[in-house]
Amino acid sequence: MKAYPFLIGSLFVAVLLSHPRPGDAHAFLDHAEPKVGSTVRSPPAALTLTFTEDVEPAFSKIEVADGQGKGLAVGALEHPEAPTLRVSLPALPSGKYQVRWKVVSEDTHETQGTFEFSVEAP
Amino acid sequence: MSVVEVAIGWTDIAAATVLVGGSAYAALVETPQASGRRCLRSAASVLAAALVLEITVNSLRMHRLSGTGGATLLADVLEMKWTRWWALRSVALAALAIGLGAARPRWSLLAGIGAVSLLARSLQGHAGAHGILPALIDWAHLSAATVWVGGLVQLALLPTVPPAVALRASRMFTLALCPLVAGGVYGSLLHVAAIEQLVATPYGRVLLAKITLASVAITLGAMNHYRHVPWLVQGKADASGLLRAVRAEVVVLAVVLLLSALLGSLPMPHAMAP
Repeated sequence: MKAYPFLIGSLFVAVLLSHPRPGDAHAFLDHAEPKVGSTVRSPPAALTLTFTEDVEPAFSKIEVADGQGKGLAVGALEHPEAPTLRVSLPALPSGKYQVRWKVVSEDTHETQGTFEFSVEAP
Repeated sequence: MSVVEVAIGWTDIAAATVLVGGSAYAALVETPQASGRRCLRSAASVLAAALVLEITVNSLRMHRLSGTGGATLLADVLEMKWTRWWALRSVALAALAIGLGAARPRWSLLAGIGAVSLLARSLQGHAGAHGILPALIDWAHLSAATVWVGGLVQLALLPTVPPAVALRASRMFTLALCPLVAGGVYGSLLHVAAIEQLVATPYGRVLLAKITLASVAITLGAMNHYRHVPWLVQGKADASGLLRAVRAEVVVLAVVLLLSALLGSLPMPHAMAP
């Protein structure tokens, strides 16, 4: 018991030195391809979204709409890596596109969001 | 987040801490009396009900999200990582219930099984979504809280506390404080990135309330450790003062567990990534 204060002090120091990286514990978009808000020269064949946490594909979805808000027929949802979802895209003409995503992280919490990208074929 | 989910989460964590912490108390301090064993069996029943409700509510949420039902929904829910940890917790609970039914339970084994079920709980939640290290630290925090709460409940059920029991229990609680506080600090730094998020977000405000109430409980525990228990051991006082403080501590910790359940449902403060 005499070593107890030393043990507490050591653990506190260890905690502070480990400096835990703040996180979300809900899955938010980390990055996307095409990039959020980007303009691409050639129409992308697929849309890939990577999240801050692992996601459950069975309860997640990605929708893409054109500039008039009309939904596009995207391919089946793929799950190449634990935090990544991908859908194949039809041939996209030049224009602005909106992506809507809704995912469930592995701790069952749901999140959703939107972003846009543009295709500007030369 | 809904009131029902928070209520189920609170029932789960309260029953789990009483059950596993009570088994640890039995292994390390004293074999529970009849009222203590009844309490453990009741906690096992309540935890079983909470686990059934959790899988039901989760399946309904997934149905609402995906629109699927029947065998497809069942297969998809069974595929979830959350469900696998839920299954491990259910198996551990069944083992605990069988063990509690024995004429002379093997308390150390039951406490070990309980520790595994707590690890599955940590891997199921926010901490598990962050990775293995945060889940392990959350487990240490949860295990320490479990030893504290479950042990206090067993003490509170006693008509009087023998000095030797008070001394052993006090040592156990003091040792549990170290991983409890260190794990709590780590979890707070992990989930709250900036001081202003403590007051500007619902998660931060609930965390502040939890820290405040936990400090009250720790103060009550310090009073027992430095005053009531030494007085009892030295014959300067009977156990009534200690029992009053223990029961007050149990009430405060019940609210702390409610706030913990609330934190498990609230979205964390975050900055949306591009």
